[in-house]
Amino acid sequence: MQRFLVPNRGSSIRLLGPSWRAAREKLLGMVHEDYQLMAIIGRAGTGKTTLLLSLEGIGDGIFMYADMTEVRDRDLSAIVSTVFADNIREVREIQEKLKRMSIKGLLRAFAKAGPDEVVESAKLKPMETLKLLNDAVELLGMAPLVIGIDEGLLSQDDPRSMDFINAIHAFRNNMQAIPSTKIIITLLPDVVNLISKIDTPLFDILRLGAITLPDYVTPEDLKEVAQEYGLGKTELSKIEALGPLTMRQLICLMNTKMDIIKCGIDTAGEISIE
Amino acid sequence: MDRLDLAYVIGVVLGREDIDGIRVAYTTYMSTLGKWVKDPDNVVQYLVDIGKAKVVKSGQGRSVIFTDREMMNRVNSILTPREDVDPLTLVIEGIRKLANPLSGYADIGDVIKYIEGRLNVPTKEAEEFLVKVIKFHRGRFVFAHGGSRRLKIGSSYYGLVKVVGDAEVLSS
Repeated sequence: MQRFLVPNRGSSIRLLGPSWRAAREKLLGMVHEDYQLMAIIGRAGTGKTTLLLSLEGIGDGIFMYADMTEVRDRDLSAIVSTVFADNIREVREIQEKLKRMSIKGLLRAFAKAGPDEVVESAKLKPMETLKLLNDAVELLGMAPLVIGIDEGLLSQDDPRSMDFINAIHAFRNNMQAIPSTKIIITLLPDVVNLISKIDTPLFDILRLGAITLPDYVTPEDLKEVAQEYGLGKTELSKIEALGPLTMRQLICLMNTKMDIIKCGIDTAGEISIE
Repeated sequence: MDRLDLAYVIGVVLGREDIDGIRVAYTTYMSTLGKWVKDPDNVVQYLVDIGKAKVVKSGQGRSVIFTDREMMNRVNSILTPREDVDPLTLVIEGIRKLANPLSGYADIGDVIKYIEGRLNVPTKEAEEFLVKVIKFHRGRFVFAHGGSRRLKIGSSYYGLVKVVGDAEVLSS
């Protein structure tokens, strides 16, 4: 049952709720409008990963998804090498297409490199290797290269958050060198707060391309989910009485026959400051 | 409120602003202070000894001048009636002022400080105020992890708060 609450790469993603589809449209709009650094912001369970994964198979360009939760580090080297490692099949296809063209110089070397060499290169020279991928995609007419970096559960208290912020800052500084590459990151609100406090230049750029996901399902979203799961009026009223719910909490209720406790919905009146 | 605070409260109420501080006629002051303390003379003498007041000649009589500006400000704030504010409005206003423009979330620690400042109350009282508002208007707020102070709701801990109405619109 738990797997229904965790989006998975490879399985088809269907966004439930008009609010989430609007967010996807907005995100795609930004990609088409040549935004290069975009952020999906939302608290836990709002569907950041789901939204990011829903971009798989977008009509134009190539989408590469990097799941940072499986990686120890969060610096630029770790992020770019994960992009290459997690999408090695797509990278191989690009290399094959390059080989069929009469290219010279660094791109030729890139086309010839084996999978391990490419990932190693991304680790050692992240921005240079990303630029090669960007240039290859441009040359092959496959642009844009959309890279989704899912940072998972990185919070302000995680010491790696500084590495992550520095890495995103590096993308910010190198946007002109990789014009066909669009980076989409997912962020928890506390990391957004941290960025606004410690890295104003990055925050100023990020805010232009940010999408804040709905913190809770609206009545329209709830209606659609209820229809999808064949929910009766009584159950619907019960859900409405629970107050604002995240999409994950709502889907959890559907899959657990309305088990409020299991779905982490605290209805206890006890509130205190620790 | 101790005897010194009381002595200043009466001084501030009866007196008028002077170059050196708050000036009040000695006899009037003593008789008023005497209503609440047995030994008003000793209280004034003690204030003089610790440098918080002085007794000066004034025409035919004497005056007491209260010189400690910090104490005067404190007494003034005690005497100034609190602004009649709706608790929910105050909290929502605070969250909106302090919220991150991108996420819409405010740090609960900052919201507590905001309440402290607005109501001029100690931290503990501001915390209780916030907890009460959240309890009574639970559906008006959403919470996220992080922040500098932790709010415990049931078995979960949160450090960021957002006003529900502000979360409805997709922002960019």
